[in-house]
Amino acid sequence: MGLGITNIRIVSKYETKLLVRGWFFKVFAFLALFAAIILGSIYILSQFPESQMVNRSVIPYMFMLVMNVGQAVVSVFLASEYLKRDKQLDTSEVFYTRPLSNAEYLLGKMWATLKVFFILDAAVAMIALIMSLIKYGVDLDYLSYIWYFLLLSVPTLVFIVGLSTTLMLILNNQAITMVLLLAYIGVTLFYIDDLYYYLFDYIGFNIPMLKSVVTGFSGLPRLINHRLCYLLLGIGLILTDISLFHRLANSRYSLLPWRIAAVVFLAGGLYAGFRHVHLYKMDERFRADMVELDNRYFSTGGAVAQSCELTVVQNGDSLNVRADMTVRPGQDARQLVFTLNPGFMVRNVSAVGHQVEFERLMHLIVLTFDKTLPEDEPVNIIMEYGGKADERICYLDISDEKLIENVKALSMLNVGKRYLYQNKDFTMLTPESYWYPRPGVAYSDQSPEWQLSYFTDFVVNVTPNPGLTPISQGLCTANSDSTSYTFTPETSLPSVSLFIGDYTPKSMMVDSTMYTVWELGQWDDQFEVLDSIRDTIPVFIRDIRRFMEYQAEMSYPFKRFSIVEVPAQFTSYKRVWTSAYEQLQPEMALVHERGFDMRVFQFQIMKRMYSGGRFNRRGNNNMSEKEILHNVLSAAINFMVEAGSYGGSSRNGRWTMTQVDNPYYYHPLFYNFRYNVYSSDWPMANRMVESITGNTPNIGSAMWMRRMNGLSEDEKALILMGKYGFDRIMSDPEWEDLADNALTLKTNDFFAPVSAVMGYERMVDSISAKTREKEFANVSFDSILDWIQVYSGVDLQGRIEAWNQPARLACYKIGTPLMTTVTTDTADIYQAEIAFENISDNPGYVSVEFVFYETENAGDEDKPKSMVVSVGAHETRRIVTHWFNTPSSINVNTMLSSNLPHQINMDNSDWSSYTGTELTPEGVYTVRGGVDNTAPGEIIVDNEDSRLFSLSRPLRTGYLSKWIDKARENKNEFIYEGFSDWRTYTQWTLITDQNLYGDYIRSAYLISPGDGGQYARWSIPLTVAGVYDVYYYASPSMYQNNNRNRRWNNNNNRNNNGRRVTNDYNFEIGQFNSSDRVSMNMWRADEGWNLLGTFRFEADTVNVTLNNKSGIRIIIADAVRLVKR
Amino acid sequence: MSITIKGLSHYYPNGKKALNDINLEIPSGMFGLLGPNGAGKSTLMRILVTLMEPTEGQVDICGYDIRTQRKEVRRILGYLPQDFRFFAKYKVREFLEYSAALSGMTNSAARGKAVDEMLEQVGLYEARDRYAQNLSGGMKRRLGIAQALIHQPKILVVDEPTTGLDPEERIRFRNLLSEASTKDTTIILSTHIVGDISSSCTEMAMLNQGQVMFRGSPAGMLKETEGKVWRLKVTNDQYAEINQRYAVISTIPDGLGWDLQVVSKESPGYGAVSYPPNLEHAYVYFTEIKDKE
Repeated sequence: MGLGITNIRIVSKYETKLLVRGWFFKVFAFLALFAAIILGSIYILSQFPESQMVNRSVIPYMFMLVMNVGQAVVSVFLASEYLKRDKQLDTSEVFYTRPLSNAEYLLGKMWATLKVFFILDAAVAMIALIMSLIKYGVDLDYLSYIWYFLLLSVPTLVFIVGLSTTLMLILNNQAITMVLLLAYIGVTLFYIDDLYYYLFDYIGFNIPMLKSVVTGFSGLPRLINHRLCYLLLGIGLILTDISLFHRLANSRYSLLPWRIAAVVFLAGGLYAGFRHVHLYKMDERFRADMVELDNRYFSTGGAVAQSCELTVVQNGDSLNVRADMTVRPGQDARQLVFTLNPGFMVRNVSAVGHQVEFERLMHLIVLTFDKTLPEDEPVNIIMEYGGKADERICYLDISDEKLIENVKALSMLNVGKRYLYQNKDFTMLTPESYWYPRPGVAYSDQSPEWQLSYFTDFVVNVTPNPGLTPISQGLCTANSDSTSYTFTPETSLPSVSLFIGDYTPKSMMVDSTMYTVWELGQWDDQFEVLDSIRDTIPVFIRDIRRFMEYQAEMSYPFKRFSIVEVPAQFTSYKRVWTSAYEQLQPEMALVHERGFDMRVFQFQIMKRMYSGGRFNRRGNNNMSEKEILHNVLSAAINFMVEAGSYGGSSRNGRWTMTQVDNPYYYHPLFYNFRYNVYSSDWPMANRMVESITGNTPNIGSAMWMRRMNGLSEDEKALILMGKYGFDRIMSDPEWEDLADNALTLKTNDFFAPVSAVMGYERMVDSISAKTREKEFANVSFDSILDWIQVYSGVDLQGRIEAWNQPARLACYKIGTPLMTTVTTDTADIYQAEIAFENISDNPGYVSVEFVFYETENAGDEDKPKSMVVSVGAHETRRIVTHWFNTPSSINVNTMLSSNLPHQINMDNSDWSSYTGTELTPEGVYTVRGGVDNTAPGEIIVDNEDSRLFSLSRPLRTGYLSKWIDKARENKNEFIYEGFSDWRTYTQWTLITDQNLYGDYIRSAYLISPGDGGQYARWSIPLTVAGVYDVYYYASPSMYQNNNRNRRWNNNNNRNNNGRRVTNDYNFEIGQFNSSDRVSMNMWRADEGWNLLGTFRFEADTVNVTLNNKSGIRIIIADAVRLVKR
Repeated sequence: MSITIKGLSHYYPNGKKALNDINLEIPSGMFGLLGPNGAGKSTLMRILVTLMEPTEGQVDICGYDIRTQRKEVRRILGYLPQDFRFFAKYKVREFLEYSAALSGMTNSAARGKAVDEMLEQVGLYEARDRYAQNLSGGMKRRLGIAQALIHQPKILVVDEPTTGLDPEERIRFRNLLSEASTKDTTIILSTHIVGDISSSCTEMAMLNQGQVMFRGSPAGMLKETEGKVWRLKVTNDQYAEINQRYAVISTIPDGLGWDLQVVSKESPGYGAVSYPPNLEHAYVYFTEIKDKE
């Protein structure tokens, strides 16, 4: 082999000179350093988003990540550049005739490239380090600078340099090499993302790498393995290049060792890649096996744990636990099944007064008794187990895809996900970890029964490792030398959690409730900001508590509330069957270390924000120091008040808006950890009752969100409910975002007969009252239903439908509201009417709300403004109401229906108004004849009519876009598209909106303007010849709202050819082979029907054709109306 | 013999023969390789400097086989390629240092001294800190010979070194080569410029269409051409005829007709008289006439 380090050094020395003299590298180096300084100034030195900076490893991570993407791209250019140079210039040949070996020459060149980037990385890291030192002082995570260099930079560079050189040597063409590599980088950055568990993420752009101050990296061995994969592949490719290099080797066999080494390294890299996937696959397999086991046992041995005393002794990183439980078996129990974390080894199980054998199957403990246990008679069971908890049991109900998905901080840093910790220094075991035995299985995809949970009397005794402090629920008492602690909750609880770490409490007693912040280490620098207003903190706590209690209409049920600091990677998931996130535990909220991802906990920054520094002019400069601090405090303790916010996400290139829950929303603390409704027939009962009685998260459904997404989440849920059983919707991960909506819809429908009788609010009040009779106890759903029957006379038992059948959706034609003003002796009475015709075979309910500009405007504050009305199959019902003022609009919610939109707001400007002399008594009437919004002699053809409405074929598009479209269509249940002003619609696209025309689906097709080659055609059959008025249904509000400021421009548009185009829609109207051209200015059109013209027609088909030539941003093809004169 | 070439052939991928069964022995000293463009000179040079592997045949350089002992061959080799114009961004001194270092001169002090001496020798010392790409054509060529000589090679291969140089630079360059040849170095000078050979080589070979047409001394080549060069005066019509039948190497207008020099085995008639040949005549004789026999 004869590898001479000297020769490599020589080549690298002179090649480095070349690289750094090239303008390309100079520009990049300048940009990199400049970007580092800018990034540093923004994120480190300036005041704004530093909330995330509290975690000191964030800065090196962020800098290295940004740098890495840049250098991955630039190194492609450089690596292929120097080979191109070699190929072209004879001057390099004089080096080839020197005695150095190919290996020495190539390795020297590669090392030169790597070296200059490494030096640049070091310079960037230095900038970050210096700025951090200036900002934070010497308390930094220095090691993380090296970690991120090794994990991000080194493997990426080695791999990309190896790959680009190999490609260049094989393809012998710099342009093709570059295009291929840049495409590869683009694809890995923006498309492949978490495919195969981030396997293809050689840049490290997506794979989680955030380092926690408390527990370091999450899953470091796997991370190292992943990075090793690319490092080895990179080295393998570089070694391959030695053989591929176009220069005769020094001797015949000198390449052989390099070839062998290349194969070894490539194989090593591939193995590391395989191992990466394999480990995840094994986890998935393990999880699937657990679920399979659960499926096998979910109906075995039901029991309720009445009490559970846990004695935990921490020994290094292992726990030894004794669980002393009293359980009440269900029917025919000879076997009892418990779930316990599969990482724990069960040493011993005994049952007082019984002979029992136990079997440990993964995460299950199956107890077999010598005889059937008497139902409900308490049995005392003692289990002894120990070891290290296994994370894989957590979230068995969450899909593998979801588990692997990224959590981002600062919009680009990948945080990683952890659900439990059990180390020597830090332990976090929430109920999700099954750290103590619980009756029943963990999860089953065959029956939702596993979701049932019950209240238990817990006691937790903990002997932690020396120097550590345990935290759990309940009153804590320590033994005399503070080596062991006992936690005794005052009430039964659904679950307990355990934290052991270097915790320090900051406590405050307010109105006999103890408020504590449990810090890991010290955040004194953060808290000292608030020192001067320390004495007013109780006032704020009292206020916020009162506010929550008022909003929830419930009191806070516990004697203490703690904010417990947990590592940055701790994550939880939304569950269908509860509104509680794992971040909330009875008496507790678990907040990430230093509140690193929540700005409200960064008091320094919040203070600066409120005082309105140079960078933020939103602040009120007139506030006093105290007022500012009060604002800071208030913002922090308000972190549990908001239910959620809107967030955008892009999936398969399609942008959708979704509701993002606030996992700290206080409601579960008041409700979920206190009340429990159970039903073995309807496992969702608890959630249903919560959904209807609780102040569940609802941040309103915005119309713009529906427009953007094409359908509202309720509508999507309804479409699914009409097709699939409820169980399927609840369990399919694809639809987990819609499960909540389906549940609420189902709940409202379930209770609709009661609200139809007693009104919605009274119904809610009465169910609440019944549910809340018993705190910290299990209430059966049947008892609630029985009570409802007594109270309202409605038997809901019959409405408990088969869980697995699709919902039977009704379908309504909604009449135009009617407003009659009647002047009586005393006042003007406004009679508002609206009618619904159920044109389906399924009975249903409609919810109607009369809206007034202000509440008192209705004239009678106490009068209910909303009502639920039942509409039987093929029945028409008319609602008549009287008011002292005109309602501004009517909101109609068609509940379980296939109407689109599912909710409609009917503004009073569109109503039919009359003056009358006589009032019809208020009430709900069943009427004959249905709802007919058409006048006599009128014919309407809508785009939903597939027989009479047709569209032009789409223009031919490229194969790639066709393929992408096809891939996107895949598995799409929802045919309606979102609509936004800035999008271009190259083909007719189906949308729905309440402003559009339709019987029960208010839809239309839309397309962007073009040359007129695309058209929509309504073919209206006429049976009577005569003179007809032809109308077109216009919805100018669809495009005017967003365009108002462009209105002037729009009147003077020019198309690509510079010709003036108008805002007209261009129609052709005619019969047989002749037609007239008619155009209509759509900016000036009225909402609704607009007259296109009057024509004489024979008794034959009339064709109305609209083409896409227009100056307006969208062409909407909706409905055409013919009225005979 | 410094270099022994036996049965050397090289085929291009399209099957065309670039070299056809070359047998040559090259002694030490200055050896000229003459031939028109496309004769196979460059291919032969590239094979000799280990940039190319021959299809067939054996080459032995100072006792080393170029197929199996490339490293040893490369150690004693200096090479100045034909088109030595494009430089990466190196300064003159750096370029020479890099070349020296790659040739095994690892002691930096010794290397620095050798580089400076060499720069003096080729007259580039003053330009040592200039970027090589900014040098004039002649200076570049001198830098080229410097890099080829910096490690005192036993074999120096120089491919078309004087093309494009002005006469002064050409003479200067020839002198540099002559100087080098006195140091027990074998210099192979490949060229299509006859003057390069006549002025400096004692031994030479003539290559045409991949074959050796002549092997010997420049004087020997002249000797073979004696009696094959003719001078004659002709009219316009006769000139056309002569030009078709013979290799005309010189035409000078003479009154109403032409004064011609023609290379031909026998007298072309028209009162042609025999004329003493120079190397250029010999070149034409070997490429135009002998080759076609």
